[in-house]
Amino acid sequence: MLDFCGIEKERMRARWVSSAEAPEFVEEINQFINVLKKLGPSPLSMN
Amino acid sequence: MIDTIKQKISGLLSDASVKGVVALKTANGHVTPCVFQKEDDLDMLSLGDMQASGDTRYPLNKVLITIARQYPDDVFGVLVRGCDERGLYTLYRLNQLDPDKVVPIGFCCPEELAKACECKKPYPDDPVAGEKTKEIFQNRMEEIEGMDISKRFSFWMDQFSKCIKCYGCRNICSMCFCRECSLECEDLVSKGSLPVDIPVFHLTRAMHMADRCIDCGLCEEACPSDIPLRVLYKKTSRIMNAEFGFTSGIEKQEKSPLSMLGPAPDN
Amino acid sequence: MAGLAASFGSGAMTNAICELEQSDTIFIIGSNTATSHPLVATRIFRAIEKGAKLIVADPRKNQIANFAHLYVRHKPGTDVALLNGMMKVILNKGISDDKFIAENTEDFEAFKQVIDKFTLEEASNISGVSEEDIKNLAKVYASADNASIVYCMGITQHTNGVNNVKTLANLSMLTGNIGKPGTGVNPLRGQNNVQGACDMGGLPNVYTGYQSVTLGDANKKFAKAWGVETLPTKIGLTLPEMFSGIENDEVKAIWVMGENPVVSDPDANHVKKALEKLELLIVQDIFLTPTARLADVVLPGVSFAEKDGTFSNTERRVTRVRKAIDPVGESRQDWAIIQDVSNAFGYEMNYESPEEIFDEIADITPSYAGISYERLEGPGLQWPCPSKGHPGTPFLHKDGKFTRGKGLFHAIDYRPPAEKTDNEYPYLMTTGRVYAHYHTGTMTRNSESLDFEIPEGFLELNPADAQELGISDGHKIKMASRRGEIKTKVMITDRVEKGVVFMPFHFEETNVNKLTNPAYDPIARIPEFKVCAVKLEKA
Repeated sequence: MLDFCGIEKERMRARWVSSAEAPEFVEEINQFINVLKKLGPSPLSMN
Repeated sequence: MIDTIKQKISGLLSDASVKGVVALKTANGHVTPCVFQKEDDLDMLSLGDMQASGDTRYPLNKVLITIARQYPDDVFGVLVRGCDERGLYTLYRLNQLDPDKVVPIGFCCPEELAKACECKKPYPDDPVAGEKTKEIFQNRMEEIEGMDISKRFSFWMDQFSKCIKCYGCRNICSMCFCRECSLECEDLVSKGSLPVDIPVFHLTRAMHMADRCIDCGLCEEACPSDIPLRVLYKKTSRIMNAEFGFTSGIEKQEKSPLSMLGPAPDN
Repeated sequence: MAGLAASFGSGAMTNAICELEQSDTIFIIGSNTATSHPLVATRIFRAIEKGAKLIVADPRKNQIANFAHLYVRHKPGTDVALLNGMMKVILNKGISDDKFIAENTEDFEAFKQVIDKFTLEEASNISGVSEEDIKNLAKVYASADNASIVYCMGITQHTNGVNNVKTLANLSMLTGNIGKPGTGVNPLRGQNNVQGACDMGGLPNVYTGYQSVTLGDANKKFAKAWGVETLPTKIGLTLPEMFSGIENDEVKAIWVMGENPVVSDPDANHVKKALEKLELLIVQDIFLTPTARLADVVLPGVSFAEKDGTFSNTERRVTRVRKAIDPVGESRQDWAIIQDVSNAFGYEMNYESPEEIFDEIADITPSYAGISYERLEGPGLQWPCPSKGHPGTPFLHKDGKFTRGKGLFHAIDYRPPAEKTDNEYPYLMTTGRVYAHYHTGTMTRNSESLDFEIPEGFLELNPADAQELGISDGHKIKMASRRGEIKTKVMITDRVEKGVVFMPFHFEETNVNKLTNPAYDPIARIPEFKVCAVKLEKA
């Protein structure tokens, strides 16, 4: 639906991480930050 | 067509197989919902065609829900087009209506209306009147899908910016029967200023329509700002179909994949 | 309405709402259309989608301004300066409709002299809008084939409100944008039936259909219809005059029907004192409003759902309202209450139904003469509808044939608002509405879902001002004018510019009308709700 509304679907990510898996959580967040940095500011931020 | 329907309703009323029939009447130059209980009143019956076919529709299922809650033991008839019947099936599935207490009186939409709606099933399963016409191709949705992403973005943001937060889309929707609504949850949608939170307000509603929307288009007709809501929900419906093979209201007995626990169904 | 009546001869929206879809340019000034008149905004959005240009002038960047091809933010109360500046450009560039002016209007020369003396530089300095923007506004408006003007209270609620309206009328005549579909000067009326109330003579100087009480003919006609020898030819009191009348002991009793002046009128503290001084205050309403709480007698009237009758809306359309439920509690039909009081006073009234009253209206009101309940089935009729077979009139002044004969240009100089900012009161405050509430909230604040949307009043404040005052979003602020003081929550937003604040007036607990200026327009007697000077302080 995000894509249909013109928002890159890469900007949203849903992952299941257990509360006992801290390193996985960190890894996941870091990866996502890199993705977002590449994408640049969201078109929504201009509103 | 209307005479055949009148005969049908007349029959149901005369043998007392229903307590009343939820349909439309013409009065004072306007079309309004009406519960017919006497055969004599059927002169006023309307199919909701003022200037063009189906240009004056109402959420009759919603009226029926209200009545059914007050008279849970009685059986009522209801006038249905293809979309209304999809609505009935969905309301049965969601336990808002009891199929044993409802007698649908179905009729087919003419081709021109089916085209205007881009309707995937412009007829009920068992019509009393009218000819079944073909499924119509979803041009409006394809057109938006065909835009490049930035154009799509500005198209929708412009549309959503017109919203005046009247809740008309929700209030007219027969599938919106919840007592508590996410649109009125301050943690999701902020209140008190216009334009509304964009695109949160409209996408929240779209998400909630995913396994419900039966594509009747009343939301778009009710919208005072002409936001093409129907196309938005057609898209959620298409995603549901692509991912789960499910389309709300097409099969009478089908469960929604969103309301099942356990592994995904095979369909 | 007085302004349009003076210019064109008829005080109402010149064109029908749906005609806005046929306009290729729409100029909105002093109207928060999307919030206050959403169904008018629908037509404007449709016109934009068909390619029409939208230009908006408003001190506050409201929702519809976001859709404008050109939005200008002029200072509150400087409308005439901005508009005269536009007309200066139109005359200089020679893009006026000279044929229309010559054939259909009068007093153009006197008007032109005022514009000739005025400079674009002055227009820009006074209004705070750049010369470039004024030029563009003028060009877009004047080069349209069918340009509509839409305005509302942002134009009229000023001490020079009538002049503002006459200036808009000048602009439409100067470019020939009147008397055709999709053009005209279109005031949006705030209530579903405020046009109807005026049509029915709910003004101090006229009978129904704007027939003057001072004219012998109308007087005789009404005396005959009502079976009396003579009727007074004296003009009654306007609202501000009633209040000064109370002070001077000339007015002893007031009967208020469906109004809530304690919240809706300027200088609310003063209004309250005046009403308390009355010997008799009768309030007829559907809820116990702040005004009703002061009353000696409260008469319970009925809501729209409990009555039969007609409404006349902003586009002069008369439609039927039909009773859906029986009156709740002890409430009674408003007309029946009036009839009983009249009978008790000794003037006998024996109406059986609203229809019988309507038939009398049609009998003695030329613009309603052709309307009857029978003809009002369906979508209704737009007046003037002078005879039984007449189809009604979607737009007025067809082909430049004005109701008053020729369209009258008025020579109008810019005059500043009654109150200026100074060192003590450095901010300009303007008032208005929000989407969830209607007027003094008598009805909407009784609705759970609407009250949920916006439960309390707030002040819109520019971020730069907020920083100077050291106040953050949602905090309380103390705001005072020369008349009163209130405390309210702050909403920080750049909808308002630095130095200007906005507050909605729906809320009795934070009643902004304790602050507003009761100074009023000399002709229409509309108070200056839209401009007053205030000071702000962290609370």
